[in-house]
Amino acid sequence: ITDPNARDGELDPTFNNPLSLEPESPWGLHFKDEELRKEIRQDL
Amino acid sequence: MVLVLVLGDLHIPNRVPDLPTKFKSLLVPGKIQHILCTGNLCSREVHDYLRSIANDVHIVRGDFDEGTNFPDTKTVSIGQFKIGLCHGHQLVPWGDTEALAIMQRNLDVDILVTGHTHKFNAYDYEGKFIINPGSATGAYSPLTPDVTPSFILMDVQGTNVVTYVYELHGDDVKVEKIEFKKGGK
Repeated sequence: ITDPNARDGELDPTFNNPLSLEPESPWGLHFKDEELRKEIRQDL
Repeated sequence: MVLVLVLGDLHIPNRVPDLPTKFKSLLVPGKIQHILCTGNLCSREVHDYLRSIANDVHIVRGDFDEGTNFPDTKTVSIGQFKIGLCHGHQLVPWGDTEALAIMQRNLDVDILVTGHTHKFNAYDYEGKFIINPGSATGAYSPLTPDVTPSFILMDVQGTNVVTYVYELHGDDVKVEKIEFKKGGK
């Protein structure tokens, strides 16, 4: 599980922010995980 | 984490045709839980658009929101924060720190959100957080013809608020981060 705030302070907020379109940014990964979790919950 | 979008003074379609495309591509449904809008939308379509991004939308009335029944002020509790919302044209002088502090005390809120000046601002005042998201479309105001389009996204986590400021400079979206702790530093 990606914690978008874990690597905080190191990354430029223009790259790493909750609306970031960068799939590799911690926030991007967080929302990707979130989608996967939603799908898992639906399948259960 | 709870994501709260704060924006206002859009003036669509009176002063600008639409939100900047760059902003629209960022504001996708499914990420944001609450929207706080400081008013001056100024059309039904903008209201519908906001409701397509998040379920929980709070709007106060701007001086150009005619024929609407939005309230003048509103308080919303999100997590451990009580947030006050007002367009701000009612304040004298507009955007004045003391006038904002009086409103913050009257509403008894941790965070006060106002607009009207079309200029982004965020600061800690006696342990309270005073913010202004600016104009999301960069619509002109009687005070300034050159307005940088901006909006705010707050990430509320416990007693902390991480504020992301989105500004459009030319074709690039620049993001800045400001942190606020309940009760001040």
